[in-house]
Amino acid sequence: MDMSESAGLDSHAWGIVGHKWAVRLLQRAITTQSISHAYLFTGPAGVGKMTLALAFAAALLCQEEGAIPCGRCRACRLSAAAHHPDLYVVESEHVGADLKIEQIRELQRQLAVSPVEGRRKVAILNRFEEATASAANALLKTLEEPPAYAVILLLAAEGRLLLPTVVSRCQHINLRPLPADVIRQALVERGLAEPEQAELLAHLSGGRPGWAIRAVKDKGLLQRRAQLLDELHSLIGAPVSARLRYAEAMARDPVVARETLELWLCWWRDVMMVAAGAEASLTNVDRYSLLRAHADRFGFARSAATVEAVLAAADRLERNANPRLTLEVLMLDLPRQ
Amino acid sequence: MRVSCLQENLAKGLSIVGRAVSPRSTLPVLGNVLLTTDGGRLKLAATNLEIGISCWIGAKVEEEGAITVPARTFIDLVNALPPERVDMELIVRTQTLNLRAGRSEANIKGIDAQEFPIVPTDDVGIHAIPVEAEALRSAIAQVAFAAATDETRPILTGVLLKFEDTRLTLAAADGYRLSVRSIALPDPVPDPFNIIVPARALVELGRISGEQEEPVRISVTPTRNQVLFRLTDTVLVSQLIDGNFPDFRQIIPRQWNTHTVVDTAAFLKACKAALIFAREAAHITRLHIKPGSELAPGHLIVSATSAETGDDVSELDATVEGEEIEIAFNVRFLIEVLSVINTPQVSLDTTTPSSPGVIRPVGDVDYTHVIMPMHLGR
Amino acid sequence: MTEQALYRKWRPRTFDEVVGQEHVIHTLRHALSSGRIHHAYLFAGPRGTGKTTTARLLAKAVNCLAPEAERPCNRCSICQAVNEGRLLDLIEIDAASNTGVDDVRELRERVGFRPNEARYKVYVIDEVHMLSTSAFNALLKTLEEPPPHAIFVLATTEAHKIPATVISRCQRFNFRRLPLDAIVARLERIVEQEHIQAEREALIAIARQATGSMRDAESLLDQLVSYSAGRLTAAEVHAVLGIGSSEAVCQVVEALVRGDAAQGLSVINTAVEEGVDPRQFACQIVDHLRALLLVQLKSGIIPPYVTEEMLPRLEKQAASSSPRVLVQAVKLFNRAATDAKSSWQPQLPLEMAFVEALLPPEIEAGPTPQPASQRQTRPVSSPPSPSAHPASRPPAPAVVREAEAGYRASSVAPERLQECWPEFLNALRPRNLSLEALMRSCRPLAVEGDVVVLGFDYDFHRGKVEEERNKRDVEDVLSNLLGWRCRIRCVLRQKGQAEQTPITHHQPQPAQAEPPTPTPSSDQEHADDPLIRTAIEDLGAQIIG
Repeated sequence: MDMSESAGLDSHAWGIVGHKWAVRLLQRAITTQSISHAYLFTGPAGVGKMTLALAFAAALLCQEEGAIPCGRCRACRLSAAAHHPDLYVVESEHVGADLKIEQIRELQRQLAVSPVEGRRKVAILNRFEEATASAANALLKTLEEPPAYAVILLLAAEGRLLLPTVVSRCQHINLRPLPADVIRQALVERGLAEPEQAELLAHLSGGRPGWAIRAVKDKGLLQRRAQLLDELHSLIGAPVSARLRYAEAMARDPVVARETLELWLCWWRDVMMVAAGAEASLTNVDRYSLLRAHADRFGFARSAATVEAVLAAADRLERNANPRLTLEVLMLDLPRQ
Repeated sequence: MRVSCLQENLAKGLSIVGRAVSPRSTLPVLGNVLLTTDGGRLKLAATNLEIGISCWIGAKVEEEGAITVPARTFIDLVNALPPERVDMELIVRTQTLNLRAGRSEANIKGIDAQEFPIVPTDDVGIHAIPVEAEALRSAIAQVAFAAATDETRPILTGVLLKFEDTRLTLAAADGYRLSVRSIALPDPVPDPFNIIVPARALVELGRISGEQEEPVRISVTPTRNQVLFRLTDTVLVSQLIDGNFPDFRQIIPRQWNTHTVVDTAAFLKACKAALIFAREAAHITRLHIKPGSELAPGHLIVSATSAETGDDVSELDATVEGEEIEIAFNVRFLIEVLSVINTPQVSLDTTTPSSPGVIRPVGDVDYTHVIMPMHLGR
Repeated sequence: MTEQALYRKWRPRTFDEVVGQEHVIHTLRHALSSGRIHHAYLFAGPRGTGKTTTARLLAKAVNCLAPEAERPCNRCSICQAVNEGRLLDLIEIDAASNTGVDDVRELRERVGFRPNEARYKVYVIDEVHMLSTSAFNALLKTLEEPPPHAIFVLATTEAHKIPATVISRCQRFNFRRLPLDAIVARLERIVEQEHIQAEREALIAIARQATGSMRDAESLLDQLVSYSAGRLTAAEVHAVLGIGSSEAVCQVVEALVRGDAAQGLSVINTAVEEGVDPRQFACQIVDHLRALLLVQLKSGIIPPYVTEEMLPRLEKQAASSSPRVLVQAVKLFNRAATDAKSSWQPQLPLEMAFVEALLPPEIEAGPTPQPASQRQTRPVSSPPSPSAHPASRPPAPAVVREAEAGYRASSVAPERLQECWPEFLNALRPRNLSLEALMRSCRPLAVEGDVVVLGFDYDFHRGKVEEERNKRDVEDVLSNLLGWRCRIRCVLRQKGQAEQTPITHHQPQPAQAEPPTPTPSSDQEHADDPLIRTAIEDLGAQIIG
């Protein structure tokens, strides 16, 4: 695919890792003065949606006209601190909560009047998949015909999770996970990690630079992963009663359950890949010998079935099934020694 | 910053700017009041990003500077101080404001003034239009209430200000009624222009300009994003609403079939009585207008019926020219407009039961209120 | 300032400009010209097919000041006010944010008002299906006796959520998804008028992506035009949308036909690394498989997206695969493209679709491990590990099954069910209070496959719960709680028997599981298969030769 840079635009000026095509698209919109009134950025958590949105907002609000924010003016200083009076970030109270219609109404009230300091008002609506149906619908009219100075940026994990009528009113920019190499390089170039560490984090991140950067800063993240993998390994050899106890413990905290399942998913996918002989895109590269051992022991079909089982359990949990029942069933489907 | 002023002045200034504070905003600094030394005075300012108010009070400035402090805390504190001299000093390193009055002393943690949004106050270099304060206040009272309160069409939550030649026209419409007031300007405007100001901002202006006697100076910032209303020692700045305002002249009927003149107070009273029953029937109130003869006066009969609670009929004497007519209006709307008419008599022009009615104060040609009739059903 | 979006700029201003809804426009125009104006219309159809646009056209047409034949004229003050969005008598309400009965009551009160300047006050209620039941009832009253000056246009993307009583008061118009060529034609017109250079292939790619919605197509065009420096190429469209190369798609299908897991997964991984969107890729594979089916069935139909060069390879692939496998694969990849499953790992659903398509269908029916000898009906080629050989797979499957079955019975059912019974009752209560009381008198006895057996002390209770509606309520709530679709069977319990009843429990069937499609034996039967029929009647499919 042709993702080459066009001359004269430095995508690094926005400080974005990867997503060159998206940066180019947005920068060109500014330079050719064809900025749309509504954009939708989608992609998995940590892929860089908010970073991209804030960079775009900073460029839109900068007092100097141009695709690259000057970084020196009052507007840039305020944007950098997320204190710009014409920049609105709207999101639910916490991950998993609802984005409410009252928040949309308030935003609409604010967007209805002209910008305070600059030429534009930028509204970022984070995790828009958390918007209630009435909140999302309430935004439709604004998305379609906002005031001329307004630019609305919706962020969501996937377009599919939003009302189709919302998606079709936006320019949809779907940020895909990045190649591990791009993340590794960025970590090294920014002095965040030594090459070896960067290599590992790049693979573990699943193409999400945000996750990799978080893992650099939060050492606990990697330790936690190591612990969960050790536990997974010992579960395979464990008797049924131990597995059930483990399920019970897991079921107590939905965050832990989710985190564990996510890791398991990754692990069994890797096992399946190794078993199939497609080893180019493994995540858990640091534990290759164990992957290999599992692949040899359980084989392709069995590991694929396990991935399915974990996926099914994850799906049930997301649909609010009883966590303990779900996890117990999953425990029975995990392969055993 | 080192500055002293009288507690009374500080409290009064804060009561004015305090109306623009927005404590629940996502930007913490908007819950604060900005204090800036400005020449020999102390400037107080607050903004909710829609309305900003700045107010100057007399002070003795020993050292220039600026800081923002949480409005609620600061206002409560100042109100609790004895009516004496207040000395304030900014401790720059900690961004803390130290206050001393009499034998009390307090420290308030602030936020850097740099973070406070720019609240323009300066109309130097911009053309400012003086408008007589009392006329503006009464125009706001007669027009702003007709603006829409729901946000489905933001434009209708605003009031159109139309500057043309020697007239300023204010207009508001919510889709069911229209209020238009025109006032004279002392000097002609060089270039005609229109702005749409949120009704909320004008209501606020009406409130804080209560004691204003000198003309209010109105100007628009060069970016055309804001309008400034300059009073003595106070400036209210409001953001503008962007968009096309409905062509209100199109809505005002040009002729009538029935011209009715009644006593304003009696009409209002009859409407208030009708409201008691109309409340349950979509506020529908019937007006039956009957012309008189050479000997007897004409009549305006106001009636409302509720299936549950009963009915009410008031008959008023009226001067009626033209045909007899029966027409229905929303009585709440009648009450609202009659309450802001200051002349003893009021006129109502109608054409058919399904065309708009026009209400005007008798003897004042500069105010027009148009109100859509209601469908009478069977 | 922001540029006005193409879809707003190009919003049709006359009936003639409306694309792809000729049936609606024809009827509407005819009604208007013969003066038969209804007071309530229902515009139903997918997003971006012209509902709001047509509602605005209607508002102009009924109020336009020009002679009847010229309406809407777009010149009179009314038409202009509508076009500029400032006509006071056109009221667009979004039902979603005004769902309550109070909002509708207010509307009813307001409906009594005469129009300001127009003949009719037109109320457009968007996304009307969002109204609450009581709000619908309130609306119904207005629709039953509409004032003569009011016209209601109810617009919705989900007509099935609207009460029949409301629908029966409206003249209904169904808006259709736009055919591919209609979208392409419209895009061609726009690029011509806007002086945009664009390859036809690029426009086709955009139109395919829009799946029948003109607004989607126009939004996409907008986005891509600002992306492209000069002439908009198909390659640029692919880069922005994450569309994979048809070569990669072909290679995946080839690997599938050959049973080569390593090759297929590697191609998928390379494509994803290069920025291909997994869902897009899954859609592309579905398209390719459909084309393959059509070739295999000698239908004489090839979809427009199959190129000349691709045809020989398709024929080769067709020769070495069975329709049964293809139909199954279409289903699996289709699921990967549309399924609402967790988005933790975006490429995983695609990979799993490929893996499942390779493995025999049992794997789809549930994650229960099956004896290797049963599942390995088709060999996975070039297996890298000894595990692919059934004989070397530990442990002996039969032993595992037995052990697990016994263990399940003692752990998952029904004691656990018993434990979460209060939770179940709580969930049932708001739905059906009297049913909840009934259910208090029974206990879960056993789980047999996806059937939960419930024991009752009295036949009267049992009979009551077995009633169609009650049974459905119990099953729904219980399924929600368990996370899998279950059915119930109600039995009469003899005293003291319940605790001794041998309990059985089998692996629950996940809701999405489907039994393998029975494979018809001849081509004629294939053509009767709904899936294949869809493929043949597919968007843009054409007969060649």
